[in-house]
Amino acid sequence: MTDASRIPYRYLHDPALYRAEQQRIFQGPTWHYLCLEAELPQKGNFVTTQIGETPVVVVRGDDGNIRAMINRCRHKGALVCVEPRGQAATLRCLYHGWSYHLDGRLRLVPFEKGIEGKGGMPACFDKADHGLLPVRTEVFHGVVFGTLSADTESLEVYLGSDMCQQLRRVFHKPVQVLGYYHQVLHNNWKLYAENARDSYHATILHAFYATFKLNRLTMGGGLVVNHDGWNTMNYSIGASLQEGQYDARELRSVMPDIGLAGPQLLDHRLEYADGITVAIQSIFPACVHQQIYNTLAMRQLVPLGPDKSELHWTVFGYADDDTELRALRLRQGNLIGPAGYVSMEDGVIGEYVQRGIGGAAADEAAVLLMGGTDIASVTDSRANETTVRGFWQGYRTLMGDALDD
Amino acid sequence: MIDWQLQLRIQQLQTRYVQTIDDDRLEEWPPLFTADGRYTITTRENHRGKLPLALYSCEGRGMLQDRVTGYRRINVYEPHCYRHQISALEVEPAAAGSTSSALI
Repeated sequence: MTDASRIPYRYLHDPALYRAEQQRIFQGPTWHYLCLEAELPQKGNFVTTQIGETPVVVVRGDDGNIRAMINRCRHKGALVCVEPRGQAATLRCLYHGWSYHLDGRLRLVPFEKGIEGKGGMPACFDKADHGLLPVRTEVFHGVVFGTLSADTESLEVYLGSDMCQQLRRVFHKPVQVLGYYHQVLHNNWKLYAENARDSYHATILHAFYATFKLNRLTMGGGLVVNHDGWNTMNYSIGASLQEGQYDARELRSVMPDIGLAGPQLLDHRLEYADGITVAIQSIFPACVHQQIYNTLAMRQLVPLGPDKSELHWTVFGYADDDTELRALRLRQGNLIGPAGYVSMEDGVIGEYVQRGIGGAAADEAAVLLMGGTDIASVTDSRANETTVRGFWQGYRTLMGDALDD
Repeated sequence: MIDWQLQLRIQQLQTRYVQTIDDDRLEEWPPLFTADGRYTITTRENHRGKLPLALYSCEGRGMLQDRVTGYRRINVYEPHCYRHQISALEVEPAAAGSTSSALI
């Protein structure tokens, strides 16, 4: 096991590492969130997405099955599906009209036989060899995951038992998408990936959490790691708050003189018997699943270069939400997304790190020592960076000698 | 028939509204709404897809005041400022009163 408590800053801006990540991590033995089954209710519905830089289209076929394919025409490589989502009887490339069945088989090549017997494809061309490349897919309780590697473990083994349990907990009945957010982050994708795993910052950077007692380290909660630390969850139980410890003189995030003129923002309903009010689950490398009070979302991180990434949010409720609960979810939407009272700060803090590490010496490194150097679940304290270390352990395992100087 | 007086009043309100924001007099912005006024900023994607999720979803003047408090005191964000460019105003009669719209 490598020491994941010191992480060189060069991991966060080196273009050579960015290239290696595409192959070793995004095309490597990892599972990636693709979409929700609820986004594909009908045959022919499709969603386009990416696994790292690789474009992917997820389709519900004529047989009702969900499949993912690389969204790249087998002729010249153009995107086949361009819209974020839609409905199609066949998947047709705009460039030369090559057309595919919903299961990816190539069905038509315009002028395949030429014109009046002249031109066209040679006899050796076989359409059966030119279907859209399949992406291995598993649907877990309505959440669609894909992997580009044949070597990836089965999804449930990859996730680990606690991660499966958390997905089952939230996806225990049909969900309905309430909307999307997209935001460009001016930082390396890994700064966001580790931010979501970082309990330490949550109630210090996010004054809204601490001031209004939505989340504090002095609440009961815990840090859960599965799969050698790759997959993690940070959770807290709002009703278990112990007062004290948060000192307004030392922490910007505690503002005793601030109240809300519209306190209905904080209205919420306990939906789960375990009393957990905030649960942030991270699935290595680029997926975050969130419950913040009554807001539920999948977040997907797409790298756009060594110092730029994009975050896609799919926010949902349950199909059987009553009117009041639906209104609570939408109102609490003010907490999340690019303009959310909490989440806006995660949008900027990664950029402050990216700018801060410019010009750093080769041996300068982030210090991730809160709670020691272990990578293991912790149930008695969240003043601990074990979940962040877990991410870096997964990163180092897959990157291997690509990280050598 | 265009109600020029109404058109002008809405235009003046809009001008005052925009200047309040552009001049960073944000504390004067919530009083431009009625006590139960709603303020929503959504995305093109959610709007076109008839999806209810918004970026900002304020119900009542109090929630608008809180957005100002967040901006002034609570939140950490990259500093920014505003300069609105607004298209001509379109005013349409509605069942109760009228609605108006302009591109910003």
